[in-house]
Amino acid sequence: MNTTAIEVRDLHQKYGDFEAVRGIDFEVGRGELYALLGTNGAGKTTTLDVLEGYHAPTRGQVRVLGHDPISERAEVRQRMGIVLQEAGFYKDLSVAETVDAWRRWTPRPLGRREVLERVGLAHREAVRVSQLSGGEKRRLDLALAVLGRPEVLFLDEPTTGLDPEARRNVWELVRGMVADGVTVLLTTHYLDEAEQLAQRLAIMNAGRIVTEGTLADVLGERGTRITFRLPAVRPSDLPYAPGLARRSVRLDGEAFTVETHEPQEDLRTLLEWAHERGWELGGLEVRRPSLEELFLEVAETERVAA
Amino acid sequence: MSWLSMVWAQARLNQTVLMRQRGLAFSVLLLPLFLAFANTANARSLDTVNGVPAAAFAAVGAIAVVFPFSYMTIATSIVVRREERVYKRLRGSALPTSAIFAGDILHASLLGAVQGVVILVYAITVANAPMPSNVPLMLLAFVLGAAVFAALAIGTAGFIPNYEVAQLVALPVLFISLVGTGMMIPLSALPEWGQRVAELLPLTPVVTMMRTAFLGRDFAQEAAPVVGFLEAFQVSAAGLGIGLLWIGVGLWSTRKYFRWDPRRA
Repeated sequence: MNTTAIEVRDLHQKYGDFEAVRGIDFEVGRGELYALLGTNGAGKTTTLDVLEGYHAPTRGQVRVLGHDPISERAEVRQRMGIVLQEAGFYKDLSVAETVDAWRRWTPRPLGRREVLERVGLAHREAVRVSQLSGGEKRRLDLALAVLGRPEVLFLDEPTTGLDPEARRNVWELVRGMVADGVTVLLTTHYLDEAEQLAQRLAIMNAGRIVTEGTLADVLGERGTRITFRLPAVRPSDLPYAPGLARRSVRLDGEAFTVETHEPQEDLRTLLEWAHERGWELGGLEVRRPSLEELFLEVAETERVAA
Repeated sequence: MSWLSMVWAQARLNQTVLMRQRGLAFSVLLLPLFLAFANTANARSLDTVNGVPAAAFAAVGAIAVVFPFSYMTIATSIVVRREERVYKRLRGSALPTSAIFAGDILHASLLGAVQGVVILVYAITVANAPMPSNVPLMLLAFVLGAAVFAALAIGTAGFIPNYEVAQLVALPVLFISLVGTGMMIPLSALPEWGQRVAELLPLTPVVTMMRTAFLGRDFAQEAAPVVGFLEAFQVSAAGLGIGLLWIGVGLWSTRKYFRWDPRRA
């Protein structure tokens, strides 16, 4: 059996003159959870639209479960579940009526109770969809997406607008799906969401993938950060020989950030240096970069390049 | 899961949704019946209109009104689902696109059929209309009418920006269709070119076929001679052609102008 669930090759997507996606490649293995991160307009939703079969790619090729999602739609439409960023319901129907209607054309559907319990909406069965809160509508989105026991699940910002508890519920649900062997492609601009869920991720910016890999890979490309505050000191005063490729020093007011690939050695040097002078390094911290920082850096690099 | 059961599920859902929109439900479910009763109320005499007995004339007209209302049902539901992005969700489900269209057509046609039967029974039992002499031709005329107006609804939905306009557009469609059939003013009152145009309107051939099916006579000819069972189909061929042409126009326009998504702002 093919172990690749989703394949994207040199995908370009244009709307008129605007090129929303400018040549991206990635693969998602079966049972894997892959996250596409990026700000609004990075091209995440456009990528999903193509994979879900709403638009043909302007250039390049995509495969879902080995099939073209448009020309071989019949092969895949019953095997994928989709949570769209923006899709409507029949707003005059109740939650129960909506699920029942969808169950009628879904092969081997989950039971109405079962699916509503999974997304935590069972107590709202009799309520009209128009009266649901934003978070509840999102949960109904999810309920309809998982109703047909999909092999591949596309989630376009599934937790946007949810409160923290509802987000954690969604994460639980998604983890459960992955544990059951479902392949998940998730877009998000919440970095903690990708950190919580994704085995691999790609960061998109302006239609391109700027970095890709496992969380460790992506973080590993960047050094460990040593941060501290020290007044009236210039970066050149620090005990580091200049021009070392695997280290950088940044000063923001009094706050220093030393990014290094040799944290133990650099930290020892720094501490001895400060100790000799009797200086106190305020708010000293040693840590891996957060996705947040990574993200800002990527965005910054792209802005500078542009 | 078979395609047919998906189509049936769509049709059923359309009906549930329609019943929740009270204004629209009133229009498409009850207005055709009111119009039919109003239309047949004055027609109980044995007068003739353009050589057609008044009761049969009125009954046919009343049944034909059903089709422009099917147009309204289909066009409105397409526009609402598109603008509220329900289509986007439906197309992402297990449903094939063809089942979405087929469900719409089946739903509107079943409504029309029920209304048509109610009107027919009323016309025969209360309004003195005769029993149709050629039931198969009657059915063919009904299927043609349903298909023409479904094709036109799907074909024109791309031009209709929103729900309100969808209901407005249905009115001129209804009006022009009725004028074309000669039910509002006799076609003989129109100038020659007006009559030629009227003959080409989408509802006219359906009405002509129904009259022939009702009375077993060919109204295309001056004296409206009696025609046999098979001959009735023969004389209806030209009308069938006009109907098929309109279906072609609807399909062409669908290919060219149909939109699944709201226009980007």
